[in-house]
Amino acid sequence: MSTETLMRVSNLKKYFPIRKGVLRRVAGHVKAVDDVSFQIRQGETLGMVGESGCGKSTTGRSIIRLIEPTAGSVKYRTAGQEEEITHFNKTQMKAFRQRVQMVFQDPFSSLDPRMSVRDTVSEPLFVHRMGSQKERTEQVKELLQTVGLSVTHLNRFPHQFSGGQRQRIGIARALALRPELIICDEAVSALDVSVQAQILNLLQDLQSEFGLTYMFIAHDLSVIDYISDRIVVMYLGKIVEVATKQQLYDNPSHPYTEALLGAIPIGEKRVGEGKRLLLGGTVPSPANPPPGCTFHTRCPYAADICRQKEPVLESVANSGDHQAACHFTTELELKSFYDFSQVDRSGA
Amino acid sequence: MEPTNVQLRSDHGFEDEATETVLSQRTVRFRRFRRNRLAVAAVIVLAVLYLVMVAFPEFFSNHFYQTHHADYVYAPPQIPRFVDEEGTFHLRPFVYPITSELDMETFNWVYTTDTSQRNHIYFFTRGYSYDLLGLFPTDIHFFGLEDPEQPLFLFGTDRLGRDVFSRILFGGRVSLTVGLVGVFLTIIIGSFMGTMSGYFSGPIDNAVQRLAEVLMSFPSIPLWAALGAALPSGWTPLQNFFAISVILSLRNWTGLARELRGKVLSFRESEYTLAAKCVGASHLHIIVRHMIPNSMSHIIVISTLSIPFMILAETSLSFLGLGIQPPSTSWGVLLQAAQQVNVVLEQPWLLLPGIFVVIAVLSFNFLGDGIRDALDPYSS
Amino acid sequence: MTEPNRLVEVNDLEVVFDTVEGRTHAVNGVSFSMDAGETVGIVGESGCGKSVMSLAMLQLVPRPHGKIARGSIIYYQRGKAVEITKLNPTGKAMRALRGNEMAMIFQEPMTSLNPVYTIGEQIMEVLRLHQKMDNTRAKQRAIEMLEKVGVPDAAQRVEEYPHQFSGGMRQRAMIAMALSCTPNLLVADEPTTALDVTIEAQILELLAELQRDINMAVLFISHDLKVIGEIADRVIVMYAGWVVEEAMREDIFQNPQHPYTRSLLAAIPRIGRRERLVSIPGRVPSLSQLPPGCFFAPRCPAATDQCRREEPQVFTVNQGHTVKCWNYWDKEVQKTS
Ligand SMILES: Nc1ncnc2c1ncn2[C@@H]1O[C@H](COP(=O)(O)OP(=O)(O)OP(=O)(O)O)[C@@H](O)[C@H]1O
Ligand SMILES: Nc1ncnc2c1ncn2[C@@H]1O[C@H](COP(=O)(O)OP(=O)(O)O)[C@@H](O)[C@H]1O
Ligand code: SF4
Ligand code: SF4
Ligand SMILES: [Mg+2]
Ligand SMILES: [Mg+2]
Repeated sequence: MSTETLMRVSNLKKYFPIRKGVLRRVAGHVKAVDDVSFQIRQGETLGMVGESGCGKSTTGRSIIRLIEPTAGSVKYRTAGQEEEITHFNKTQMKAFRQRVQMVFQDPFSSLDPRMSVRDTVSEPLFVHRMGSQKERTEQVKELLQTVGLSVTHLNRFPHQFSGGQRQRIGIARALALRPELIICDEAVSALDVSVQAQILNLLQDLQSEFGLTYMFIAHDLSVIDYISDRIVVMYLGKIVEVATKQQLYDNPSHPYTEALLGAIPIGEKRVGEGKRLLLGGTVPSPANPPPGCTFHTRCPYAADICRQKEPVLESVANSGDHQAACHFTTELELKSFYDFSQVDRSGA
Repeated sequence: MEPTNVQLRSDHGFEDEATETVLSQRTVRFRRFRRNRLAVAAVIVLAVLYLVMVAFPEFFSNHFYQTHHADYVYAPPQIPRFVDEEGTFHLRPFVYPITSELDMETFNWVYTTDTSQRNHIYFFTRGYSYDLLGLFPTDIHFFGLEDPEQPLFLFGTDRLGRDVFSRILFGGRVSLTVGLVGVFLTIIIGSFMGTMSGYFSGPIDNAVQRLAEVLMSFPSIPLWAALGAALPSGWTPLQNFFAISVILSLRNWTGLARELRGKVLSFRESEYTLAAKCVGASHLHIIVRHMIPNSMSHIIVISTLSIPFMILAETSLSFLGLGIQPPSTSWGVLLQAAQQVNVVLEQPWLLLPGIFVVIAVLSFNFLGDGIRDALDPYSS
Repeated sequence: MTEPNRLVEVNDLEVVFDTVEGRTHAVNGVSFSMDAGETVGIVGESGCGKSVMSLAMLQLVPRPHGKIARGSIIYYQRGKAVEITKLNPTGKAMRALRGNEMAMIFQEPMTSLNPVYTIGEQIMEVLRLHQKMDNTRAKQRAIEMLEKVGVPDAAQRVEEYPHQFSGGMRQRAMIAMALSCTPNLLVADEPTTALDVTIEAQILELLAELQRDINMAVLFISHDLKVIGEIADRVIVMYAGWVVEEAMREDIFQNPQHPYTRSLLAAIPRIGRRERLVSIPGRVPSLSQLPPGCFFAPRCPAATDQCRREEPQVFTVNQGHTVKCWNYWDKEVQKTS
C-alpha cells in the first residue's frame, strides 16, 4: 500500500433545502455533510462509520458527484496530476465515471427487476459504447466468474437470486469499467453473517487482484475493522475522529468512538459486570444541529465549553495520522474496545 | 499476506451450477393469473365476444342487421326448444313459427304461435350472402332455419322489425373496437406525460400537474355536447365518433399520468437508477431502459381498466345522440330505442344490449384486476 | 410430568405454505419448550423459518396459503394447558390470549403501527380491548408505559403519529404497546435489526429490565448470534425449518456441536481478529425443494453419505444440549481420539 493520495476531499458541504408551504419556499437546510475533509490513499480501504443519518451516504455520493456538493473541493489524482472534479464538464465527468464506481446497500433495490443479469452487468459497457454486443457478453461472462457466479445465470432476472448473489451481481457491474476506486455504501449490511463473510472475502480478493482502492461505508464497527486500514468516524455531518484501525481500537480519542465501541454486541462474557456501554438519546436532527460540539447532547463528558465552542479536528498526541475533534482529547481517559470485552486478540 | 489466487477461489463461496429449478417470472405470473377464476372466465368471455362480434358477426347472425321484416314488428324472442307441446323430446332444437296481427284497439302487434309446425334449427346453413372477413364471399351461417324466409328471432325484433340478435352482434363490432382507439391514445399521451413529470421533477412536473388539474376540472357531459356540436357536419357518424374518442383521450390521459408519475418518482429514487447514473448513463438511457420497462405492467393494467370506461363512454354518448348515429349501430344506439318506459314494459327484450354492455365492462374489469394481481400480488 | 414453571411447549410443529411455486416447508417438525421468565433466542440465516415459527406461536400464520400442518403448541395459562393449535385463529379464545397474555413485536415497527392513529390511541385500543379500561385510565396507562420504555415527554408524545417518531422511538412505542397488558410471553421478531448498535443496546437493556419487572418470558429472534448472545439464556439454532442445535448460551458459544453453528460463529467478524473469515458456501436451500437426508448436507464440510440419505437424529450432548447431526463435533472428537 502506498501513501500516495488518490482523492483529496476538502471542506465538503452538502446542504439539502427544506421546502415548506404551497410556494415551496426554502425554510432551512438539512446539513447532511458539514465541512468534511479527508483523503483516500491509493490502494487502501478507508472505512467510514457512524449511526444512520450521520451523512455517510451523502458524503460517499457527493465526492463522486452523484449528488452535487454544496461547497468544497474534491481532487482526484489521474496520471500523477490532481484534478478538481467539481469543475468537470459533462465529457470529463463521463470519463471520470469509469474510474470510480459504487456498490450499494440494498441487494433488492439496487438491481433493476426488469433487466436480466446480462443487461445489468453490461449496462456500464453499453453506456460507454465499449465493444460489440458479443464482446460485451463475453466480458459479462468473465465478470460473473470473477465474482463467483455461474455463467448459466446470464439470462436470469434479479428476483431469482438470493441477497448475496444479487450483491455479487452489483459488484460485477461495478467492476465492468475496471475502476480504480470503489465506494461500497453499506455493501454487506443487509446480508446474513455467513453471506456477509463471503462478500467480504470476495471484496478483499478483488482488491488484491485488481489493485483497487475502497471507501467502505458501514455502521458495523466489526465489519469496518475487518476490512479497513484507516477509519473515519462521522457524527451529524462532521468527522469526529480519523485513525488507523489499530489506533482507533487501542486508543479511541473521541467520546463518540468510545460509545460506538462500547455498544458493539459481543455475544460472550464481558469484562467485569460486562454491560454494554449505553449511549443515551438519538442523533439530533441535522436540520437543527446543537451549537458548540454537536455531540454534547449525548456526551457523558460534556462541559460548558462544549455547548459554546465547536472543537476542531486536531492531531492526537504527535501522530499526524490520528485526529479527533474534542476539547478534551488529551485529558480524557477513554476506554479502548478491549476494556469492554475479553476477546482474545492474539491473532493480531 | 496477500491471498493467492488459489485461495481466492476457495472460500468466498462460489456458486455451483444451478441445481434448484427456479420458475421464470413469466411462469409464476401466468400461474398466479390462472388461479384467479374470475379473470380466466373474463378472458374466455372476451375471446368469445371479440370472435363472434368483431371478427365474424355476419357468420354468427342469421339475419342481416339492417333488414326490415315488416311482418314482424316488435316480435318477442323465440326461445329454441327441445320438447314440443305434446311433451315429445326432439334431439334437434326447434322454434314454432309465429304470425302477427294488429290489435286494432291498442295498436299493438299481437303474436300467435303456430304449434302445428316445428321449424328445426340447423347449423352451417345458407342465408344472406356476405364477405367473410371482408374477403371471402359466402352465404354460410352458423345457424338458421332450413327456409331462411321463416322467422327466427332469438332476441326478438325492434320497431322496424329488425333482428335484435344480429343488431347486438353488429353493434358490438363498433362498441368493442372504437373505444380502443381512445385507449391507445390515452396510453401514449398518459405514459409520456407521467414519465416526464415523475422523472424531471420541478418546473416540468409542475406544468404537467397543473395542466392535468385544469383538464380534470371540466365537467364532461357539457364538454362532449359542445364538442359534438362543433364537429364538421360533413363527417360520417363513425368519423365523428373517432374524433370524439380522440377528444376523450385528450382529457383522460390525466389519470394514467398521475399514477405513472408516482411510480416513476419511486423508481427514480431507487438504487438501480443511482447505479445507472454512477456508470454515466444519460437521462434518455435511464428513461428508456429503466423507467419505461418498469412502468409497463402499470400501463397494461391501467389501460385494461380504462377500456370499459371507453365502452361506457361510447354507449352513453350514443344514447344521448352524440356518438354513433343510425343507420350505423352500436350498443349505445340500440339502447336509445329503449329510452321510453312503455317500451321497456312492453318490449323488455330491447334492453338486451345493456346486458352485453355489462358483460363486456365487467369482463374487462375482472381481466384488469387479474393482471394486476398476477403482476404485483402485494398491491392492495 | 410437566415442570411447574413451564409456559409453552412446542411439539413437532410443521408449517407449510401452498404457493404457485409449490409447497414451501417453512417449519419442519420443531419442538422446544420455554419456562416462565426465561429468554430463549432463535438464530438462523434469512429464510430459515424463524418468522413463520414465531407467527405460528400466536396463530398468526398468513392465510389462506399458510397453515399449521402438524404438531401442537401448548400454552400453560395459570397452570392450565391450552392447546393453541386447536383454537380458531380468529376466534374469541385466541384473540383474548393474543395481545393480552402473549404479545409480539416486529422488525419494522412502521409496518405494525397504523400511520393514521396516534401512538396513544393505538396503545389505548389494546388496553380497552383486553383490560376493559375506560378512556381516561387507558390514556394514563399509555403515558405510563411510554415513560417506562424511555420515551421523553411521554404526556406530549402520546398524541403524536408514528411517522413523527424516529426508528428507535417507534420500536420503544411498539414495546410499550406489547407490554401494556403485562403479557407472560413476548415474541420479538428481530426487533433491533433495523436499528443502530447504539440504539440496539438501549432497546435490549430496556427489554431485559422490563422482563425482570414483570417476569415475562421472551422468545427473541435474530439472525445475529452476537445479539442473541447479549440477551438469551438459551439458544435455538434453526436451519431450513429444523432446530439443529439447542443449548444454554455458554454452550453454544464455547462448545458448539453442529457444523452449522460452528460455521455461523466462524463467519462473524470480530474486532481484533485478523484471520480470514470462514464463510459457508452456497445458501439456504429453497424450502420448496429440500434435499433428501440432512438439509445442511450440500453446504456441510462434515457431510457423509449417510447424511445425504437419512434425516439426522437428535442427539443429547449433555444436560439441556441437543444437536440434530450424525457427525456432531464431540462425536468426531471421540472418533478421532
Ligand atoms: N406468506 C407467505 N407465503 C408463502 N411463503 C412464505 C410466507 N411467509 C414466509 N414464507 C416462506 O417461509 C420461509 C421462511 O420464512 P421466514 O420469514 O420465517 O424466514 P426468516 O427465518 O424469518 O428469515 P428472515 O431472517 O429473512 O426474516 C421462506 O421460504 C418464505 O419464503
Ligand atoms: N435527498 C435528500 N433530501 C433531504 N435530506 C436528505 C437527502 N438525503 C439525505 N438527507 C438527509 O441527510 C442526512 C444524512 O443522510 P445520509 O447521508 O443518508 O446518512 P447515512 O448514510 O450516514 O445514514 C439525513 O438526515 C438525511 O435525512
Ligand atoms: S467536545 Fe465535549 S461534548 Fe464534544 S465530544 Fe468532547 S467532551 Fe464530548
Ligand atoms: S448430519 Fe451430516 S450433513 Fe448434516 S450437519 Fe451433520 S454432518 Fe453435516
Ligand atoms: Mg446510508
Ligand atoms: Mg424474519
